[in-house]
Amino acid sequence: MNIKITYNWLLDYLDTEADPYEIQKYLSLCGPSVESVEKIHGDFVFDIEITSNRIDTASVYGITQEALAILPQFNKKTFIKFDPLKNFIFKKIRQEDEKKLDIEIKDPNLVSRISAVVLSDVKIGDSPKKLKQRLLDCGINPINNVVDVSNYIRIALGQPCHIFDYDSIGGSKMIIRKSTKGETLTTLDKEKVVLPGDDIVISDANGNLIDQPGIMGAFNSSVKSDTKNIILFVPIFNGQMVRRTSMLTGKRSDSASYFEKGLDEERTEATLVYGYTLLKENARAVVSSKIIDIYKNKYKPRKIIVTFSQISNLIGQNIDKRDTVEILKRLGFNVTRKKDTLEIIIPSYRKNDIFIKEDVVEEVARIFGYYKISSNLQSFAYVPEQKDFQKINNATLEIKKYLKHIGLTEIINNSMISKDQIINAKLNENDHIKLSNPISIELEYLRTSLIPSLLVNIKNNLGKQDTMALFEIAKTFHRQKDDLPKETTKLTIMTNTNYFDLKGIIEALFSELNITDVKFEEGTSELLASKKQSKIKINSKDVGNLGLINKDIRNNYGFYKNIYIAELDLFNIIQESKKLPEYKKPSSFSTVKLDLTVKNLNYEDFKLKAFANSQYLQDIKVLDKYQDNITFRLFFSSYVKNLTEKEALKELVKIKKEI
Amino acid sequence: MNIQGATSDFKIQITKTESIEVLENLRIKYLGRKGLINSFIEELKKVEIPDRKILGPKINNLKKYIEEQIELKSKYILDKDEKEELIDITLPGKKYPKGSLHPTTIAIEEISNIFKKIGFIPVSYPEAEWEYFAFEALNMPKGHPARDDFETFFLDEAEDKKYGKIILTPHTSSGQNREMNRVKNPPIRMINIGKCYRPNWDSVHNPMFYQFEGLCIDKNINITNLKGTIDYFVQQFFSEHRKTRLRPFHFQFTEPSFEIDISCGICKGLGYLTGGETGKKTKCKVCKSGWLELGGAGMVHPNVLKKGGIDPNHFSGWAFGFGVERVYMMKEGLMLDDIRILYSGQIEFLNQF
Repeated sequence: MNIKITYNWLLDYLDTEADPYEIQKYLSLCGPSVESVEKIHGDFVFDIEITSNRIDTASVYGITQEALAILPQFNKKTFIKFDPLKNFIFKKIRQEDEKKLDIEIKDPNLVSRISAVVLSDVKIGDSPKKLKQRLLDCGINPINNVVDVSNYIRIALGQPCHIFDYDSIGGSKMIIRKSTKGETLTTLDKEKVVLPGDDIVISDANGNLIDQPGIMGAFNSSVKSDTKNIILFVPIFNGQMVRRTSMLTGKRSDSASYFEKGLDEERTEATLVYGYTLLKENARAVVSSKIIDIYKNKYKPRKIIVTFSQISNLIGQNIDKRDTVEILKRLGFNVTRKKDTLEIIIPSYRKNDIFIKEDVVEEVARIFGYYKISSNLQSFAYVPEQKDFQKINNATLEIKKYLKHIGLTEIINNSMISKDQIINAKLNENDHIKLSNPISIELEYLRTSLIPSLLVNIKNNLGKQDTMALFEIAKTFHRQKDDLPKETTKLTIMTNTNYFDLKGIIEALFSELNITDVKFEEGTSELLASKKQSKIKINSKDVGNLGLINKDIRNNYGFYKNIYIAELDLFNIIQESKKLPEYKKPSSFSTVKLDLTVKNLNYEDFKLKAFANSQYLQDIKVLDKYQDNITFRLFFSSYVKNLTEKEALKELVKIKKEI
Repeated sequence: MNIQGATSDFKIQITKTESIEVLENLRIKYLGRKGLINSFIEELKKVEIPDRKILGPKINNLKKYIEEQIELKSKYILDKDEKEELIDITLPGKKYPKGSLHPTTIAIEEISNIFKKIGFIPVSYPEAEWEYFAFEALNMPKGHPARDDFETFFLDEAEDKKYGKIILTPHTSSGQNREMNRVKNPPIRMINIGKCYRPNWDSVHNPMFYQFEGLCIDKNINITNLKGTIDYFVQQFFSEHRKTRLRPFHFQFTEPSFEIDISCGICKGLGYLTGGETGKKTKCKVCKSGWLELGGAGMVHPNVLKKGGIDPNHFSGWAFGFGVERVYMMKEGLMLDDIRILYSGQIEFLNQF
């Protein structure tokens, strides 16, 4: 999360030599990242990123504490000018007993501390100009002099509070309990919230829910223009429960993002007193009850023991021992040094972030300055690889490069597709794994094939290029019972040329990979035109399909050219690939070439028969195709003698007879 | 056998010949396996011996003559080609196919080569992953607010009692625990490059993106080693003009944690662009005040080592996870300002690579 605070506000608490830009630079290097400084009407607004473990820094006071630790490291003298925790104490409030308030906590797990007081005779109006301006600078819209105070002290001290209209709370009683499923309330923004059950709720004596604790106040108990008496209410709710309710009801708020990260019980006192002080000044509020402070389990300071050598081992270089102690003290830790051991007492506001010695090392290292730590590569070590991974990885890249070099364009698409894409490609929706929280219907299902994506690619690029040849290599996802989906890597090629062009690409690729035993058999894929498709087999193993897309799919996409697809299982292909081809000795005797033209014949059959019937036949090439006629060139040679033309012709006759 | 006629025919033909191709046909006609000279030699066998003695040398002379003439003509044609034929040397040459690799593929190859040199082995782990590996194994138990930093796509599939729901992995860090389980005993030197998914879609986010995750576990691994590795990578991958900085950050699975920034390549680290006809300054929409986050890093949290069966008292480690597109977008010269174009399948864009 990010917070905005101003430079002048920081100077309410801090005395420093550092200017706003130095503060930005030094804090970003050693602490919270100040993403921007914006100069406006004599003040500067810092936009600061707060990491989720350091909610204690999400306030003007929190940044003050960081600045006190960091700025002296850059030789910028920095002191605390006014410490609200030491000044805003209960003793500053003169308690009254005129109005009663009863707070009952049904389950101590719901709330670890509540500090509250009733204030009377408030005059609702506008806040003073300066306060309003600060809120605006920090990105918050002023509402009135009462509500503004709760926002102001949250930014100042990092502790959310809530202000109730005292008179709208039945029986002047607040009961803090767990909700039952289906209970409802209407929040400040007039939205009706149905509770999922087991949420923290506050009801009054009449059973009305008067707050969605930690998230947003209820409309019924909110401060209105005629409100006279108010309750200033500073709680520490169970962060996990606030978070759960906020997530389940979808209601997020600044307050929730504070509570859910775990707040410091010790800070409710200052928050209550500071809040009262401002309400007195701005809305003429007067105390009319006793201070209610329910705080059962006081924080017992955590102690961490760490040695100097443990610190230097993890950092990798020595940091001066006195500097180490200084840094920890400036951070507010209580440090006792016994020879080489440090006993460190963790203050309450760091109890959710410092648990182990590594956490202490981080504190020392960051304030010392990560930028000052030296840089050394670790020594080399041998680690065995994942089985076959190197081969797969290298071959995948080789395949991509080969396809690129013969003119194909590599595409990478999102792994998720829409229901329309599944239907348009004639695939079955039920085979596809669905996302339960998609961000768009365009990206709702995991792909089982890359074909739907490539069809869209072709469609989107129509008219941009006459011939298109695209490919993608990606994982597809296939449901398995009681296990993660099976992830199968596919290679899919799509062209708008013709069957033999695409087949040629595949044959060339296989040849590049030294795959020899390849067969193209009649295919049965429903995505492809029944007469123009084939099943591709390597060593009799199915590795994929190739063919013309079926006309339904063509019509679904409105293609005005035929589209050809091949989809192959990449790992099966790689398994059959070889780094080097099998070496064949060139014949030192002459080769006789003879041509043969035949009609109406299946090439695969012809090849099989030709080789079966001639011991001298070495190779067959297709010279020409014209209508039903195919002209082959046959290459005859022997490994032991020069073949005469007569002998070769005899072989040709044998072959002719068989076909 | 009309040697006289053949000679005069040849003379006429060779005079007319103006190209290497025609000359080659002429050579085949006279000197080829089934050519005129060979047919004369066949005929010669049938001739009486005395005549043979007269005809033989004649045929031989003709053969020599033809060979000489063809060689002369061949030289003449080639020389003429060199001296006289005018060509427009600026016309384009013959077109050869030019395809393209996806820029992400190029980036991944470069990154993995950089890490291979220092002994990091590439691995691959599931994209559809158990929640456990993305969160619990990384010190983020159920309900932990830090999980919000990794917004996640969930799959509408059955939950596992131990491993939780099936998700699309929001980061390559899910591979950390899997790699510890695979290797069992350190050393570990992993570079895990893979697809990750998060529900964000704007100029700097695509719902699917790539990360690369480095993990190094051994005895005495410390912060200086992490810095050394990052510096090595940055020096290899980017130009010397680019600056980097390490900032404190928080991740549940590292302690200490860092964020690594690199100066923006679009606005050259200024945070704004000056351009257009007005010369007005506009905020750079890619970076924050001139810096772009490369990604997170840190020393592996003891709890993460324990979950992977490694004793944190004996071993320590570092890890980082960077976005592949991010580092590539930041590369000098590429000046890519919208990540979504990478996965939009526009061939006019892709064909440039």
